[in-house]
Amino acid sequence: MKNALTVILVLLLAVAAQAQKEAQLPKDLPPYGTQPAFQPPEVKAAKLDNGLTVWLVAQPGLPKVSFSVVVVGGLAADPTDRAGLSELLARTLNQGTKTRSAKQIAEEIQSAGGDLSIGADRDSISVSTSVLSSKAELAAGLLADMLENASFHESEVALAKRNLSDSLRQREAQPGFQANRALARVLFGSGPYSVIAATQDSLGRMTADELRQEFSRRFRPDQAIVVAVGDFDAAKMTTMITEKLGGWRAPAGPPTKFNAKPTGPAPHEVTFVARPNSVQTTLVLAGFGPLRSDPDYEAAEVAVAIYGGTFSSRLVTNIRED
Amino acid sequence: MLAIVGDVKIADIFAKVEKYFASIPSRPTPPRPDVNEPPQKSERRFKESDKLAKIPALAIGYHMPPRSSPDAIVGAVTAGLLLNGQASILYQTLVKEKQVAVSVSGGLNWPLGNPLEYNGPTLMTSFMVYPPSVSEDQLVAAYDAAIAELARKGPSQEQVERTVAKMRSDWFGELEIPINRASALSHAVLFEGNFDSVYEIPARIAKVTPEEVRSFVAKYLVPTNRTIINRVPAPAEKTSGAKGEK
Repeated sequence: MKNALTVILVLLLAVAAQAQKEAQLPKDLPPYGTQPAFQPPEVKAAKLDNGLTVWLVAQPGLPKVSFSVVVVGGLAADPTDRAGLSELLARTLNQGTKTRSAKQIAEEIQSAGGDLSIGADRDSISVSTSVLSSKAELAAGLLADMLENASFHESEVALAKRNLSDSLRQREAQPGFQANRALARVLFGSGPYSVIAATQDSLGRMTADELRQEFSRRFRPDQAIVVAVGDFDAAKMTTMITEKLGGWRAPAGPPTKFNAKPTGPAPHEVTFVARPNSVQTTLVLAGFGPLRSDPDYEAAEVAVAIYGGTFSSRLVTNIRED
Repeated sequence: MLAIVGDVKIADIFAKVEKYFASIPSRPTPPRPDVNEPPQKSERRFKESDKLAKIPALAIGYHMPPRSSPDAIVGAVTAGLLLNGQASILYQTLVKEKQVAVSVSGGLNWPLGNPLEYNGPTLMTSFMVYPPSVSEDQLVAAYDAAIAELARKGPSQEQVERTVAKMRSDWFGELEIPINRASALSHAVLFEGNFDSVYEIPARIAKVTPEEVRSFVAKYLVPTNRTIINRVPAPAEKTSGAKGEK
């Protein structure tokens, strides 16, 4: 949801709040100081010949490098009868390439000091890892292999489907998940943003071939960004990333445009989801917010923080303390 | 113990701490209560039923040596070998090879904190969510087989090295975050009198050998030293029309 649309969302766990007296502040506290000017870190941006965007933030410190690769197209880009395909894609991307088994990938990234976290958001799929600086090249090579050659082997896909089905059962028992799934359906109807996860039904129909097809549609360098942050020399890192990821080729033809923006106002509606035996109630309030590109975007973020987005927000104070 | 980590000028911060904290009257430190636990003599197993759960989960906890024991650092590496990430022994065995678990998580001092920040009794815990088609006995048998093999043969040098690389990287990752570095420093000072150990940890974990891991597993990861809790979904109640969205 980061690109197209912000949903102003406040999630509350209604707890038995005891009214409390406002705490007395200690005497003689100094006044608030002035906010020091924020110096954003320098970003060295480049575009490789294959269209891949590369951002480097070199910051001396502990010997670590974090890599993040993000491609455009997430849950909202899944075929309508394969809701949540991106989730399965994220789970199987690191389960083997043309030359490496899933176990080899896991062991290699561990030897670099990392783990691979792969996640599907509504508008993107991201792959990230945080490794030792001395092993940055190993990690970049491994990322390149997955981005270009993920194999989606039948047996790995079958196992991932079974495990995703069980973990979906687990999530479906959680009140937050139930509330957010209902919320997305109410807000977005049958539109692309109505999906927050796979369903048992859609999952059952997914195949390894479909994963390969979606993988080649979305994992292309001209629709991707790689960001490296950490303790490294920027010039050397540029050379290394160019060497490892410069050979990634986009398929012929223009990239698919993913545009899932809903039309019309948000519905004004109250929805209940029954959860027998629940000891708490989860309440979610939401409406459409501005697009990230809108001038109102930052103001909306601040407004939400004041209203209910932080622990000291008005809503939390009102419910818990007043 | 007050630790301050971040973008501050050291001279200023000492002056401010002096100004605002020095007037707090000191009090005698109360004696430390005895929090030691008696040794466990036999395995304990419990089964619980959960009305809201949809699939079962099982946790296994073993008592760990105190932080002051030379075994503690071996325990941290052993927990890393067994439980840290997708390359770990238990993930590979239970989720990938035998396919008796959906997920595996856990560690030493998990989920309370990291494996190096404790001072009283703590556990090494493995937490597994498993498919309803798998029985508790199947899961525990597969788990025990993995532990027994480690107690018999020990890990390979290569396994230990990559686990240590991961732990070193994780530790640097912790220290990169100011609040976590402050926590590590202050805990070390409170528990050990100085913060040297915070920066010595990478070297200390790198010294752990496969044989030390093998003998740690044989000594500590034994049934008499553990508790198993199996939590399963309660049988479905008859509900009428209370389901779904309205």
